[in-house]
Amino acid sequence: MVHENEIIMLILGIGVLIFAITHQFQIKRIYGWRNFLAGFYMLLAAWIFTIIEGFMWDFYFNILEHVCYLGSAIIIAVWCFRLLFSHSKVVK
Amino acid sequence: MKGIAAFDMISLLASLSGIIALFLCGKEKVRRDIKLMIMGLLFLIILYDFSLFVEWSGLTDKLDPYEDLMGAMIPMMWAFLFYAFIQKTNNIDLVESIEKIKSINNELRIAKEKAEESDKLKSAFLANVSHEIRTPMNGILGFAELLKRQEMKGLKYKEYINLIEQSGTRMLNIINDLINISKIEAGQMEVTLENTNINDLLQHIYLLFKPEAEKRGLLFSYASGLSGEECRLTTDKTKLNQVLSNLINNALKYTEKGRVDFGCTRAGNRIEFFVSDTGIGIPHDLQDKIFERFRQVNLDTHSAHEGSGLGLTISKAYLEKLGGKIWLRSKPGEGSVFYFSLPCNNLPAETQQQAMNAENYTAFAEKITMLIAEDDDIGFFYLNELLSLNGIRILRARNGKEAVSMCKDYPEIKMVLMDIKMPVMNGWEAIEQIRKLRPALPVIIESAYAMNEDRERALKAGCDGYLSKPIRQDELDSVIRKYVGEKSG
Repeated sequence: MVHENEIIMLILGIGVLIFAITHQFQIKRIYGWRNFLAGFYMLLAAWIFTIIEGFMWDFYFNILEHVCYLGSAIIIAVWCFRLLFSHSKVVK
Repeated sequence: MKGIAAFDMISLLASLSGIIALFLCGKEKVRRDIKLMIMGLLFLIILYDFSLFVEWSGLTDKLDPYEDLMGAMIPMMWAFLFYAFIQKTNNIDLVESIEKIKSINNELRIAKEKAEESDKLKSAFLANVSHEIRTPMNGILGFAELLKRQEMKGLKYKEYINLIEQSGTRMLNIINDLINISKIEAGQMEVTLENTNINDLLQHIYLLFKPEAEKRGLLFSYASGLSGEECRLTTDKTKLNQVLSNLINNALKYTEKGRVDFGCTRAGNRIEFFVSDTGIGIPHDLQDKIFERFRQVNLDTHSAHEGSGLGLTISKAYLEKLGGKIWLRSKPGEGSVFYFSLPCNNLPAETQQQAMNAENYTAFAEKITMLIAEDDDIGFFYLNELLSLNGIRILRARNGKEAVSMCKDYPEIKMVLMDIKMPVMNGWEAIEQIRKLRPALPVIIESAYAMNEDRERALKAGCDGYLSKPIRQDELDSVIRKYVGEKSG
């Protein structure tokens, strides 16, 4: 079963994705931007999987959803540590 | 389900470590508002993971409404974060643009100041050159007019002639300065190295400037610290002479009372020259600029000091070309000392040619027949007068064609003085034909084309020598001695 809040999360997430794509020139100036965006994409994937989970193979998509949450958290944490140990500023 | 709860717990711990890393980041790396936003995002993820963990662990389901709220806030926090990053990027761009504009403005201001300075110098230079040409011209034309109008004899006549000669020399110096500076700026300046006796050169310059110094009531002396072989230097004698003359001329010009001294000493592997005076001196702020072209200590166009303002620029360029350098010490009101040094790299001493003395020369000159190919009557009249004084027999050709036929018809012609610009046949063509007829006949170009390339072209065309107008008696005699004297024995 699909929850309303999950649909809202996905819609908002897609909105943020569009915003990120349209401002990619500026976003590319963020320190470790590939790493940083990967964290967001993993989260977006988690939101998509949580919707699919309501229609089919709920067990597998649920695992995928939580793996994506985990991946996103690790990627963002790695980005934070890279920033801590680098000599660069967060925006170049 | 326990496995999923474990994923959420690891995710929670990872986010927590991210918050700690960010907390440790200095403010120079990440601005406070952005730092707080990322921390907020990670905190939301932690809360969300915690609620999921609680749900999947079966601890309680009371956090469900909060889980929905956290879930919705996470993408919103991402949106705020991206927005903050973009704002920061735009701010950086704005600051960079402002800094760039400031830097460009600064460059423009400096360029404007330079352009204004250059314009001021050029205006002063033009006014100066105009004055420097008109003044001797006034002397030449004025005294020539007086000579024409009045019947004069004796001292006054000689005085007028001397004044005309002085004015002519002064005008020639200005023209030479202008030609030299244009050659320097075009990078066409060349040096001719030869063995030079520095002591002889100093003495020659001393004798040359002594009357001028006496006329101005100044003490004038020179000192050489070089002896024997030390005084021989391989350098461009003409240019060294001109540098010393420029400096001494300036010293005399800017000294009203006191003394002017010059000389040289050995300083290691270099010879150091000096010219000192007790003149007006040079203000400290002008000491670096004094070697710039068109610069005089007094830029006022009504300055009482004659000269183009190019002498020091030319001197500096000459010395740099000769591997030397120039510098000065000066105190306003007390005087100046100009120093320059040249490297001592000597060529093997040349065999000194035995100079022909004046009596021998006159006897030798009387036996010579010379052809002057010159279309200009005044030019021919002047050369005729100069050469006739020594008893040389003169033949005249008014164009190149006549010159060729006279060389053929008069085998007694020992030397040809050839002008370049002539009607019917020009000097170049005439030389080519004369070379075919009489290859050993010395041909000397006498022309108003005074640039280096004209001289090179003349030598390539097969000429033996080159005299640029105005021609001086000593130069002409020296050429005759060299080319006709050598061939006669």
